[in-house]
Amino acid sequence: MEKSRLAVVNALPAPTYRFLKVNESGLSIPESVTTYPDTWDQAALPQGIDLRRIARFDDLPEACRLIETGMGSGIDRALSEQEISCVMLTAAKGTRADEPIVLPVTAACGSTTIAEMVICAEENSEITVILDMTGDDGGCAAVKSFFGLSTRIRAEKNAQVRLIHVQRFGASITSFDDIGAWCDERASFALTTLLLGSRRAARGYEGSFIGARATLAGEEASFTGRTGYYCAGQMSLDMNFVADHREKKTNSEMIFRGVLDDHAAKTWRGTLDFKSGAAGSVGDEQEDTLMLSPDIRNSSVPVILCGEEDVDGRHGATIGQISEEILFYMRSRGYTEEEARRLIVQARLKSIAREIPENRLRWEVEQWIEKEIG
Amino acid sequence: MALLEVRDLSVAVDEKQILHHIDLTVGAGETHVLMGPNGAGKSTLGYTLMGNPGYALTDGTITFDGQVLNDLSADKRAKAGMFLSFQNPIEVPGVSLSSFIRNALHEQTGQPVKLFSFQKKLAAAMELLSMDETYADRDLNVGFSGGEKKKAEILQMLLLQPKLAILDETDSGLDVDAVRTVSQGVQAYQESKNGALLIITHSTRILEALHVDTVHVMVKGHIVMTGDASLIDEINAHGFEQFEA
Repeated sequence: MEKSRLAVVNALPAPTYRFLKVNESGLSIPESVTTYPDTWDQAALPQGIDLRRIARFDDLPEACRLIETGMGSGIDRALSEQEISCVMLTAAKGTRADEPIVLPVTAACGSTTIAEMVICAEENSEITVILDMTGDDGGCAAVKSFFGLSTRIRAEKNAQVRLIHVQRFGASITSFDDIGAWCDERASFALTTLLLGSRRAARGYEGSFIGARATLAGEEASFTGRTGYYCAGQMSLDMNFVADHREKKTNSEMIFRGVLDDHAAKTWRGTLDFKSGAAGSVGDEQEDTLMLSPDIRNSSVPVILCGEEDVDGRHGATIGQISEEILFYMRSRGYTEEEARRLIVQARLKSIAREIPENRLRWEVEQWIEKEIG
Repeated sequence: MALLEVRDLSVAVDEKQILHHIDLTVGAGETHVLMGPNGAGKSTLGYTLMGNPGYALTDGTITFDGQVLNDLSADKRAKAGMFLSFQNPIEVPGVSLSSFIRNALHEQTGQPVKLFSFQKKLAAAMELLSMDETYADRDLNVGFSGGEKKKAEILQMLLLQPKLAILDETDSGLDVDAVRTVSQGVQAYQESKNGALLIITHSTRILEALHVDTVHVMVKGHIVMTGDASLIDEINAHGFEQFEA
């Protein structure tokens, strides 16, 4: 029997009533895993960008290893105990990488894979990294698979890091995507995550987990997050996003746009944490969830923590069905109800897919959305 | 044969009767204006003609191009050649203005829409409406100003080429220049397609450059007066109070 370890993940920074069952989640992480794909070694790298392997998680420089992530230390323990190797991408001081670095990774049928990467953007550098996560053709529903990805980002003074994670597994497999960023003075981190789920769930599917935490540790550091998801069939999506404002005039803006259908379940936690000393900071989180079935389960936990008076924290949520107003508008142009619904669902996801800064991949993802979703 | 024939139409919204026994006949290529004070029921008539499911017909018939529309959904009415320019156009995030119109054309005709010829027509119509070409690739109505939203409605009308266009307060909230531009678009529609118009308004700015055949005055859900274009001047001079007795 496959051995696994239960990790506590996606814990709320400030717990609420236990009976709500949203304070944290549990994820069984298999004990025997393969690590990041060798193909990454052959990735085309712009000048000034270096890629190297670090043999063990524990060998990472402390400044990277100690960056807190959205899913939390439960994932780190698994990485540490299993001696999972890591890829470290470094943008040298002043480097402006015009082209994005695209790193593909396939969750092979029946495989148990955990990949780990660190992006270190030195002072005044710019780097864009795209993780393109796919499954075997058509997905492999018959066998149990597991996929995990851990990404840490260190953005030094004035550095700009853009990270895009796209998941389009053919069948829903148990997966996690854990992200943590540290931003120094005037550094920025822009994260786009797109999870395109499937109605078909692979054998032993336990859920899809995403966590992201941005620590805004320098004055005027910023974080923007764009998350799109399609969650259908028996899928379960568990999310935890935290913008940790520690310094003056830091900014965060997070937008979540998703579609729930069939019997899908989703838990979303979004926290704006204004620590003492974060005067003049602004945080905004907006959630927009479309519910297409009466059988879905949706839990949303927006949190604003204020340890500082002079801050501006906002939360907005639009959770519901497709409005009659928009349906009538589209039908008045000749769209059938079915076509209008399909277009609206796809449009939500495409609005996030448009953030992919690589033409071919963006086109492929849009095609995937048109073919597989709605 | 009239293009649109409304007979004895009564309409309720949330069980409240809004329109009472409306008769209206619009011929092909004719321009009709529906005027009246706020709350008269003008927009209700527009929505009802287009088939908004929130508006219940309690009496009467709507016949369009020889076909009774009473039980037809909005998409079937659009395919029959009817168009409604919304007073408050709806935002559709994720769908560009260009692809929205192109898909709508495909939905209405069932035929593939050739990209090159569509783009050419789109560019020409946008130029006529003084719309920046970048709007074609922007999400429909998202972040558009009030004026650009109204122009986007007229742009759709020009490309979809309906037999009858109902313009619901298309001039409201527009500055003088924008009204003139929109009016040019409406004129182009009249000329290119011999398109019929039902213009719902309570001001007259948009009508200045248009040929108007018939004017109807609606008060409290009734059409209380029908006349020629001279009625517009009378309303300009004396307002609607004369009809409210």
